[in-house]
Amino acid sequence: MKLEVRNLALSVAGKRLVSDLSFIARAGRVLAITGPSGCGKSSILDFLCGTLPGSFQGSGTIMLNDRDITSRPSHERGIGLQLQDHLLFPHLSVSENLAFGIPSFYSRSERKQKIEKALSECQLPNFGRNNPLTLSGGQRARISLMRTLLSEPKVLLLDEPFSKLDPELRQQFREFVFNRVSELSIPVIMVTHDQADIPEASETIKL
Amino acid sequence: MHLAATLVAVLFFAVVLLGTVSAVLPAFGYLPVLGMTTLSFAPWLQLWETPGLAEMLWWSFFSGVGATLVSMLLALAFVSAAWGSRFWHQAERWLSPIMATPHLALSVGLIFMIMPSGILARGLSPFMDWQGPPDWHTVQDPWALSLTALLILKETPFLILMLMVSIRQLPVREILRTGLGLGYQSWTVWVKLIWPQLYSRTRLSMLTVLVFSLSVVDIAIVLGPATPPTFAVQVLNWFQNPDLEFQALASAGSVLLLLLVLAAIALIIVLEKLASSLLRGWLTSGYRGAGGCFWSALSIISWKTLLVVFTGSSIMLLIWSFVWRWRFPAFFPQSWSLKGWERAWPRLLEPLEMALLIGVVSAFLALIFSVLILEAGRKSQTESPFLRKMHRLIGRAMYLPLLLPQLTFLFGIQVWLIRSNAEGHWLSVALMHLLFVLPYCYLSLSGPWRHYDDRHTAQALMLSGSSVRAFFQVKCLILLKPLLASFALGFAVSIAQYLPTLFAGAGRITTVTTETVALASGGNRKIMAVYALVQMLLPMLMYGLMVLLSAWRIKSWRPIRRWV
Repeated sequence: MKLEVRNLALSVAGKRLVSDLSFIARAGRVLAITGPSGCGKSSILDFLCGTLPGSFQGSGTIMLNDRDITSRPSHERGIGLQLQDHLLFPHLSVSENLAFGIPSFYSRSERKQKIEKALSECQLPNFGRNNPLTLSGGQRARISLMRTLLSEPKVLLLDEPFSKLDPELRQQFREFVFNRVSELSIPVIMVTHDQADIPEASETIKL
Repeated sequence: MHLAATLVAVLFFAVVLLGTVSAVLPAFGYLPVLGMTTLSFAPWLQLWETPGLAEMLWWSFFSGVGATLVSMLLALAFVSAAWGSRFWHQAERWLSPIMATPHLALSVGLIFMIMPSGILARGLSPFMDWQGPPDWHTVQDPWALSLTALLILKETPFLILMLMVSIRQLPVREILRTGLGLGYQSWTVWVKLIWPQLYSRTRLSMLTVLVFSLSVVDIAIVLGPATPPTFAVQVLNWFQNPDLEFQALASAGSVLLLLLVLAAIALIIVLEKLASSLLRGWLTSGYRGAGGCFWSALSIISWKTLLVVFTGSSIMLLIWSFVWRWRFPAFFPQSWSLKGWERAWPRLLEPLEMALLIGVVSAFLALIFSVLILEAGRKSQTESPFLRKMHRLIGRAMYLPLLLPQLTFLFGIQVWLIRSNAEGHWLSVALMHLLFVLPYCYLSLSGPWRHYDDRHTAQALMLSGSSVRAFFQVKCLILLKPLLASFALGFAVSIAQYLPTLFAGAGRITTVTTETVALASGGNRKIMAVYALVQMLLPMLMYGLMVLLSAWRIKSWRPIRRWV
């Protein structure tokens, strides 16, 4: 599995953010994109997901396993996105938030098993019925990541995943993320402005 | 300040509650003003034996609940389809004029469109080979369809506005990015993730629409079924019956109307619970959605239809007010004249002056009371928990007059007005209007008041040393735009009031609205168009005036500059 981006260019209100950027993200590896605030890091992820706001102009080609997905709608690209806010839906319980990520072709019992496994991996086995608003920042982050992984994305995008956590939680969640990532054989692209977030064995693009 | 705000709020609620209670006693035969002093079930038995009672209740229920549910669904669908697109900005531009248009004026315009000799039939006549108006039951139809359509036409924009306010509290873009990243279609993300959160925030507004739709009288007289009419109209007929024996029956009817409203609210709550348990599995089933483009397109088409009908109705009013001869099936009028205006104007002047006076006074009082209550509520945030709780309660209870059928408590208030010999005075009518104007002014101002940055006042207080100057010269001027908009809204609400004018005015006070309703039941179309057009223009002119005032550069406005 690999994601290839060719000649990516991004601009907003006539200001060029990114020009002629090409890269390849390979399975099981983390590709980190770094740079100062406002340089267009998150917009690159939006372009890859197909959620670039209307005020931005973007061009370039996105190839997933040598298949052009540039013009495909967001929900058909198979690209999972983890936001810095670790957004959980407050009208659904913790279990239901996890269930929301699981594709519909799994049977009810399979879904249940997957949720229980995910909860225990997050070290929150008895929190299934809880409202997500009762969780701490670190717990929310783990559940949110698990939900993204349960949707079985072909590529995982991480948008400043550690930036809103305090230093101790940050370290714990970093380990949690990279342990999961190493188990998966999918490309991971991570946007960050903090060098400490970047794992040693990863490729880095500086904007 | 807390004392004054509490006093205003207590007076406000006391009048509403006293009015409701005062309507219940006559329903059991106790109305000392008319010499009825023995409690009995006779009015209820009489009500039970009323011919067509079940039919009247059913059509009221059908039109009220149906219009509310369809309006809510359309509003949610539109917001989902329009978010982040040019239609969102289009809606922001159009909502103010639509909201400012009174229901009654719009219903008269709609009649001119859909009646058998209306523009719709005229447009179709060449294709259908009609030489005379078709045999349509499009106005006052026995199934209350035209009434339901008008309610949908007017209430959908209101709910869209409420949703647009509520949506600012949600991280919509983040929810959409997350949902799309999980492989869901955009439309499914809206339905599964955003609608439940939006619905809980706009539920109270939807309930006010429900209560209004179930108990509305003026547009039901004009557009609703006639034999039998909707239940609220029948209750009003009983109240207006010269035979005083009917007062007890009318009271029993108004209490039954309240029970009908409560039953409808209970039905909505049951439907919510059912939907919550039945759809829960679907929400988390992993179904990613299909046909999103179809639903988006349908929502936008519905919105465009709404705009076309609104514009068409307004144009029809304008055309009919200047028409002299317009034979069917001609699509354009044969001759134009000012005779409609010449005949209507002398009779219109007095109701017009009265509507202006009552509208300005009630909107002004509502603005002052709203500011007083909001300011006291704001100050209570830094004071005792008791005061905080009390002001939270006052804020919630402001919806009270909008959650009760007008007929139920207005009759009770009228009884008190008769006792105190205050009936038939313009001030009584203005105070009666205040009951409905105050909640709208309060609700429209509460957002800007909540978001005001108190550091401006703190800074002004340090510089001037006077809290009065800091309030008037800084806070009020910063919030001038919402204050003026709230005044215009209050004025529009007052202009549209029919029952409060009827009950407190005792036939001696008439406004453009009461006269339009009187004309609508069989009056001259040209005169009716003039009245409805004037009723439509009044709030719009006030909105225009307020927009001009707020756009005026305050700095160059000499009186204020000197004062500042």
